Amino acid sequence: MYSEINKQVFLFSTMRELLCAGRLAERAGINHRILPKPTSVDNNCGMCIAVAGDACAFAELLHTAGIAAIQYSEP
Amino acid sequence: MPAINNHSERAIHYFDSATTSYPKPPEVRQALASFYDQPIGSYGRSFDQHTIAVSSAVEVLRERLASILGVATPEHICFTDNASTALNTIIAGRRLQSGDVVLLSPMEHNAVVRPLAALADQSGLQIVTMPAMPDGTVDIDRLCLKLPARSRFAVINVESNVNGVIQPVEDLCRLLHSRGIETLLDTAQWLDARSRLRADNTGIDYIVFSGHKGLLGPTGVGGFYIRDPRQVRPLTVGGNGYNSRESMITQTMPERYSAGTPNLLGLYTLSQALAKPPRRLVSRSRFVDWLTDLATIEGLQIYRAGNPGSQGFVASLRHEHHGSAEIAETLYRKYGIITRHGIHCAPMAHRHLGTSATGALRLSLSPYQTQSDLDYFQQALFHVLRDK
Repeated sequence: MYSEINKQVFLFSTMRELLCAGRLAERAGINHRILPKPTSVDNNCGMCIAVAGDACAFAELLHTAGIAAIQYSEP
Repeated sequence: MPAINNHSERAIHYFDSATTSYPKPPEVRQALASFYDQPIGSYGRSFDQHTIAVSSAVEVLRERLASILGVATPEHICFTDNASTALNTIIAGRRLQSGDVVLLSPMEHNAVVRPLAALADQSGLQIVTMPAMPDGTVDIDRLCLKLPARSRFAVINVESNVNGVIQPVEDLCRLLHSRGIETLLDTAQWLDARSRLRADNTGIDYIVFSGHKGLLGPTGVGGFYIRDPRQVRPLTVGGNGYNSRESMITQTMPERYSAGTPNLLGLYTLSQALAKPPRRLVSRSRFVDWLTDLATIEGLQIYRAGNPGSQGFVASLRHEHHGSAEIAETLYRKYGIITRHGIHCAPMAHRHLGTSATGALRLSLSPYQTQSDLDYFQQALFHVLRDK
């Protein structure tokens, strides 16, 4: 149902962290989208960042910036 | 010598940026004009590209403010409708108790005095004014000697909205911090995009700011920095798009102090105001020299900082024979000059300066004003006082 880039999903503790992560991805040229959290992961309010391609690079970027995230692989 | 415009020509000369800044930067006017060209949802609730772009600008704003204030935790900067709401949040939420002593500078605004007075009425806390010089500068040496027992909390108006005196906040906060007293800085009148504080280095606990004064944003935006959010219960709680199942107040920042739909228009516009802050066209020393010159007008008393280096871009004046309201009205009617008369929501400061009974006429500069604006004001004032 989600788009083709919705393969690796990153969840954040706060909206601020999500938005900062989105800016990092943008600057690093990582193909990503901000989406509602998939219902299968969490049907609460909130958003996530879905990354297509090299999710490790994004995870590394977050780690370097000190932004904690939980990563899920979409089936 | 600049020509004195007749007010019928509709030329307006704004000397009241201490009330709210004017003019606003072009970026602000552009942001206000175009904000609703797209559908904009709410921070934390909407994932469409326009709302995300605007919400990201709010986070950039938090980072810019953190840099100005000298704090390493932008997430501890929270937004409110104005500085008064921010002050109420901290003062009411800090849970000060009976017997606690709260120290105040003598130049506090009613935005501080009234919530504290209400609290003192309910809880029996004690409010003590710190010793000060005639211009309102807190006398740190005397304070050292006379610090009351049970002093727990101190509020310092960084720049007076009456005479523009700027307090020695870093020295003051270091002293208070070393005695275990929490410090709250009210920067409403002082903060602009080129100001720099070192709050982390000096251990300042709370900083309140206004978005529409020196920061040149729109009205409806203010906020605060809080070092330890566990110490202050939020004033308002409600939905914020975060952890919606949980009915208890979160400790997570900045969500802890975010309830209801924020003023995204105001926050986005303020972020644009900080993007390219203007440089002042009149220097501090030039303003001080001009005030000295103004003081030579017969019968005129100028209320300003005793130390020229502590002078902000605000000052007040009083004439021995003419009331401030009448001078303000004539300046506006005849010369299109906008000032503010009265006691400026700061009866405490006026008591300290000895102007409580009469009030004063306040003038305050925007960064865009020039020497020729000052000359115009001086000429107009001279004519008004001569012709009365």
